[in-house]
Amino acid sequence: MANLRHLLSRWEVGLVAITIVIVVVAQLDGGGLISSYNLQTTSLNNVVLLCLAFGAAPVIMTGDIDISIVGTLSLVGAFTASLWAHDGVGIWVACALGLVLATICGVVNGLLVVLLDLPSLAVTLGTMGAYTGVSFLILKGSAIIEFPSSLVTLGSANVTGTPIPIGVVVLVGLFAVLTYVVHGTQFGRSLFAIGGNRRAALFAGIAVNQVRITAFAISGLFAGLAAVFYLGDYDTAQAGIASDQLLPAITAVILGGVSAYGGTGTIPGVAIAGVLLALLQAALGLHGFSGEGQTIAVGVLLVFAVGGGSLIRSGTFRRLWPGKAPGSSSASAVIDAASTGGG
Amino acid sequence: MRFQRTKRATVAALALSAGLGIALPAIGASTASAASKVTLFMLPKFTGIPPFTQADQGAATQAMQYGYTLKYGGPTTASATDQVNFINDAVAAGDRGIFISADNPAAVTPALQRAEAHGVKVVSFDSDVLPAGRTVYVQGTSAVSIAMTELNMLGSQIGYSGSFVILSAQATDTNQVQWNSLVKSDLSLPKYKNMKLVTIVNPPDDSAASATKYMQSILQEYPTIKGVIAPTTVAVAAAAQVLQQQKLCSKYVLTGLGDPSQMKTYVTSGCVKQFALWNFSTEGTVAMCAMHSVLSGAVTGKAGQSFTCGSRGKFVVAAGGVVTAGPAEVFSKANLQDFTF
Repeated sequence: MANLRHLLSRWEVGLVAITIVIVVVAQLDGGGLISSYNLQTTSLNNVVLLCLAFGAAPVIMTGDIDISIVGTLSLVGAFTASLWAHDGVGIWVACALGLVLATICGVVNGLLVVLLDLPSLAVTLGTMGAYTGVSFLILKGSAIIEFPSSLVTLGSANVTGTPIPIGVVVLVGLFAVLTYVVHGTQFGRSLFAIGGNRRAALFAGIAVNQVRITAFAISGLFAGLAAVFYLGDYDTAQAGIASDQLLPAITAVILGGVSAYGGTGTIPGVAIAGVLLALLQAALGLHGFSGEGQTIAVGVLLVFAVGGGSLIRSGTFRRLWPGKAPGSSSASAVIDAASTGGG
Repeated sequence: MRFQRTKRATVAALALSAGLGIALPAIGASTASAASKVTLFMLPKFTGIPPFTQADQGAATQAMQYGYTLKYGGPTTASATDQVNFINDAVAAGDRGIFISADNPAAVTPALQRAEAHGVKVVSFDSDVLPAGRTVYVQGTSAVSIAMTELNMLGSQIGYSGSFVILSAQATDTNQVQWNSLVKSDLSLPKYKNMKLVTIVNPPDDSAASATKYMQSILQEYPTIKGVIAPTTVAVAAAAQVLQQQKLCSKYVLTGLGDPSQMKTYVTSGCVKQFALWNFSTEGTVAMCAMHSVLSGAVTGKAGQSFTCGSRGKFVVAAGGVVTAGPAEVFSKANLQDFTF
């Protein structure tokens, strides 16, 4: 019984519940959301976003932030495409070199933040501009299109005989690996320790600097993977691509239960939040809502979820409604989830 | 109106239920009940700016005659990924055709191809996608017409004699590059032989602030020019403001491509005599006529095919599946009141 209550009190369970509500409401009011075509195209169009969100999560768990991920995506996309189109490098070699560059971009962020002891927001704001700027230097406003079919297959085709996009399967694989790294290793525990209290982590003998730099490297690598997915799905490389994906990616991380102050959160939570946001957008879009309506809905969702969680965590609800004893309501279930999200 | 109310009820239900985690049963009638009609979807680069609203109105008027339902919507900011979301949603919602003005021509094309494979027809307007992603492209006016109109507007005011500067946009803007190179080649025509293009100025971005700065330096660097052509709505308005502030309206002729609502002040004050733009409403109407023939199968995008568009007459598909909606529209004090966009 205690186990069940612990399970039900998790943040992720709340997200799943909201997701189910969205699906049910949308299906009752017209349907089409759970059609094969819609699921396929919606999932494809969210692979890049989720890949960015997965990568950004560990950094945020340590209490830092990396907003240069879209700059890295743009740079790696331009670099990889240019190697292939202008230098005759095979597409997969070019992608591999692109991933190396992506990791280097992440390490540079980490070194600047850790060694110079600068705020990560300022550093990655700067490198976002720098990485995007270099991508403009590489491609000079032109676009590279029509990539080899092997890359386009990875980015947009289905697993043979099924309606499941290959990109989604690969993303699930990346998700599994990252989940293990964050929740099943010493390194993962260090992330949360540092995010919870950096000084205490240092005194506990954790190699704080190395862990923080590694988190930035993961962030860079995933931005590079997102770039490969982008080239494959949209079949185009251009400077500044996907710059609009930064806020949705960070939204998925925060909605997924990762505290903006660090120390808590789960990778599965981020994944569920990504699915939730994608389905909400698709449901609203299917019913003919304008871009304004969709933006407002996502904003409302985020404020309710994060604001609500924060109010609950700080005990405001308990002060406002003292009659409701802790643990007796579903609201306090979310409390526990929010405050112990890291698990 | 019932349609509208249902939509609002659904957004409230979705937002509320999402936010609070409470299931609200949706209210009865769905949007699908009205869907025995053919529905079409118009997707601008982004919503909330007059030219696209105008194109929507032009298309909607024509849609009523054909008995189609036209939906209009798009991202709030320029975003190819968001445009792809709207493309996917339109297909999943059962729309039969999509009109698109592409934010990034290449990036939206794979999604359009998936839509086409699903039986949806695509007509691009205003800003083309890759040819593989649409059947026809309806452009507001031709580049040839724009270049000619610009030279005639300037020439007629300076007696077709004297030097001038082009204040353009970023050097990477493909439309600008094409128009400016056509202006250059037109200058070899006998009519314009006494007109001389001194230089083309490319500000680094699309901001009014940059255009203002570059206009000021043009006037300092080339004081003997007769006029300036600014083929962007941002630059022509910024340049007009510079002339007006420095009280140089009578010394230099300014013309270009402008937004009527933005240019009204300068035309009324007499600082700018003429400027041009294509008619977005006409562009939307012609796009709807093109879609009608594409849906019926009469037009498949091959050069030489044609379709009629009510009182606007016959339109012929040119090479590459391109249709031109009409000539550039020249605005002056005389006709500015007639245009509301």
